[in-house]
Amino acid sequence: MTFPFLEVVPWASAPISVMAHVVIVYMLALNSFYALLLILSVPQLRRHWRISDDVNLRTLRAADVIPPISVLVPTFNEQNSIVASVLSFLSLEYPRHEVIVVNDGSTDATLQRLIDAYDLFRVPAAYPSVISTQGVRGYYRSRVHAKLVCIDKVNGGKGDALNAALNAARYPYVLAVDADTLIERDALLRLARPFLLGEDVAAVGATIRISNGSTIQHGRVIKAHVDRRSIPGIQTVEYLRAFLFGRLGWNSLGGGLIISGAFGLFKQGYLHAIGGYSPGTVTEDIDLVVRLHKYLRKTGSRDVITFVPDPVAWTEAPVTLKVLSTQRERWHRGLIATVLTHRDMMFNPRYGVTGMVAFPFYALGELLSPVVEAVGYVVFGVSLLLGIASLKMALVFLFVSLGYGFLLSLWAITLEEISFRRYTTTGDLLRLLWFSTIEAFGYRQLTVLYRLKAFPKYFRGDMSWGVMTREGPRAKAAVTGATT
Amino acid sequence: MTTFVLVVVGALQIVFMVATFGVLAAAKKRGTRGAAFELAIATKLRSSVRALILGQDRGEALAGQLALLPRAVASRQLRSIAVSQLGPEQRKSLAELVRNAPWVERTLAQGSSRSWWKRMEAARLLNVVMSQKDIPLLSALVHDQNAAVMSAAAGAIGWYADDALIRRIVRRLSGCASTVRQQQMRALRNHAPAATEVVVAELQAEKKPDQICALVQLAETLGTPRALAATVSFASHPDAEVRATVARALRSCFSAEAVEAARLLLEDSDWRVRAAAARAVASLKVDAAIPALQRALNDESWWVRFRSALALGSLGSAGEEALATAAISADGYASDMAVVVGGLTESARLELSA
Repeated sequence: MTFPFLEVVPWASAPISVMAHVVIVYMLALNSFYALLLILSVPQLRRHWRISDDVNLRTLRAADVIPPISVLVPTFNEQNSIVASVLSFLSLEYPRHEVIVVNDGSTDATLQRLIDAYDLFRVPAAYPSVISTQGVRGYYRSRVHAKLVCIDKVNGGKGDALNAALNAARYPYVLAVDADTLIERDALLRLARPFLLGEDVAAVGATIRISNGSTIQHGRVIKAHVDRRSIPGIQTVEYLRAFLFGRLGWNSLGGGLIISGAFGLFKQGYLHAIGGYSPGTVTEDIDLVVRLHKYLRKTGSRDVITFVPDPVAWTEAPVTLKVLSTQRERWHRGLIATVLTHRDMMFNPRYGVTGMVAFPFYALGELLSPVVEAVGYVVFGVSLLLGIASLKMALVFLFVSLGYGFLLSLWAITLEEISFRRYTTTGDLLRLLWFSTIEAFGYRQLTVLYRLKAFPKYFRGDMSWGVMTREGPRAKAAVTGATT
Repeated sequence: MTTFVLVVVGALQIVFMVATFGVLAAAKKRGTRGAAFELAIATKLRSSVRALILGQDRGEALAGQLALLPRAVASRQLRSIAVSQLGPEQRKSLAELVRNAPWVERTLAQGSSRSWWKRMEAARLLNVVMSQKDIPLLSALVHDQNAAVMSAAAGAIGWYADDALIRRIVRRLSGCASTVRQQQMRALRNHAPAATEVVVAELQAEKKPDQICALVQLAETLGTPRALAATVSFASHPDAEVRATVARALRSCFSAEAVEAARLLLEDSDWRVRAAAARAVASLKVDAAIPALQRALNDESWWVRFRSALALGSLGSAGEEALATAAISADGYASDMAVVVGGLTESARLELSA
């Protein structure tokens, strides 16, 4: 059946048909690349799995041979959760670490809560200001925890707060974490594994999981569960896919471009060399890692940017579409900014595998995929209505985009079940399967829409963070990203 | 054509999906059983472990039970028990009992496997069951091509090592990954007299800067006066990295030569050396270095100024007096740093000096 409209504009048939084919080839290529990452992640997972050993970790902890780490914690208006968060960071199992909390101009009682809970007292600024930041109002140390340092400064955004912490960091490696991140007690020890593998490390990324639905006590996830609600539940599947093979697979291809800002280890010297975090970005993590890749290439350094799958940090996922929309739009806006800022890396052999594979993948795959997918929905919708494309053609599109995506989710769940098995009950497994099935019907299209919103916002020059509301036990109040 | 593509894509996805569900179900079943099995084993071994800890036997019951387990499980349980529950004597006694068991022999035989993870398993077990006769195996594993194997084997060095192995380890230290090097150096502390002889002899031979640095670090780790004394002459080495490493080692070298060397290094051309020397004179309590430290308060490097101020703060009333004088001096750099360090509490100073 065709519509009379088509008879008026017969020339529309050919371009729509071409677009339909382009969309199918694009989705096939993109999902096939994800499948390649999945295949590449399997030997990596085996390698880490073999070396992962609790007895070895205990020996490692006692031996005091792994480098000390400064944990950097930027905070903004987190009065309800900050005391518990800091305590959980202080009690991490690691031979030597310090915790540097930066109060980034909070307008609530965040600083006072810290002063009261940890008996903080002012100290002189015994740190060089290598990277310039917004004005620091005071440095504090604790009478009860020698490992704790607190910096109170004028609001400058997350990147600026991290730079202030970086200036004060004493140890050769720094771990940037979000204040609301729940880090497993032995995660730092596991994060140190690349050192045991003899790797010279510039940065190490680790796994972030969704804490919604899990049992949490004293700032730790005691029992992992998959949330019964669909929005956080589907995100659990998304995170499994992203971290279990998405990032691990990149280890075989010279390292990915993203180390989560919620939990990432960096060599301090390199961060100083590249001028620290960019205060003006909305996704400071991807910008930092891209600049680090560039720096390593330019200086001919052999240090690696790697990913270790088993150190785990837990984060709370958005539970409403409004917050999810804000988050995904911001992430995509950050990706657009980073890709456009560093476009000289695109297919540039000077940057090796990063320039020839990783960067083009993020630019042509991650960045453009919502555009192509949206075009796909429109084109196939219109084509079906106008009778240009057959139902079979539309089914091929659905198979290569949604079906392929579902299979990748299924494999992520399988890898999880074979390796880490954090979700031990059959109910959790069934929920993961259920959410991976329903993801393609509504949720996926919404995230495409949210990401599309990033394009006009970016080109308008909007660099705001938006508001993230939390509902978890450690964050009863609204928590916003640092405002710039 | 479209029908063909649709059939192929659809069929492939359905086959793949069914296969994945099969693997998933199998993994779930295996994982559940595996966890239950490990728990049951640990429970079963508990009474034998208690008997060993309480001295009711020498570990015969535990060794017997381990022999009945699958090799990988037995190895994991033995290592876990030895590391977390047993004292050195109990551990030694148990090691002697299990060392010649077939499962141990077979696991250690993996030390020459082509697969690195099998060699790593052998190295890990060696940490518990190491005996004199395993020195050739240990010698191979501590210099394995895989750093994870080297790291796993390092702990066994502390149990048994003959002079030849110690010499071999010391000579190859500079080529190891830094974490492995530190593990090996710590293990060599159990053989401090023999290791000291090797370090002293090696430092007398002509070496490259990175080799000297590794030897100086080992001397610092061993902490023996002879080894530390042998490092002092390198304080005037042309390579700045060597001088900085020596300056760090001087902190624990209590001799007149070390004091003099530390004072000289305060005037070094490299800021890393000057900063390390400031820490050394603080640690050695060199009051005579106070004038040099006062001069260093307006050093071009922030770290040298900071370390010098901390050093002055640790040198008793004379140092504090020098710091107070600097705080009111016309020199902005010196007064700023003196005010910063002067305002720190004692515990903060100790923390920052560490």
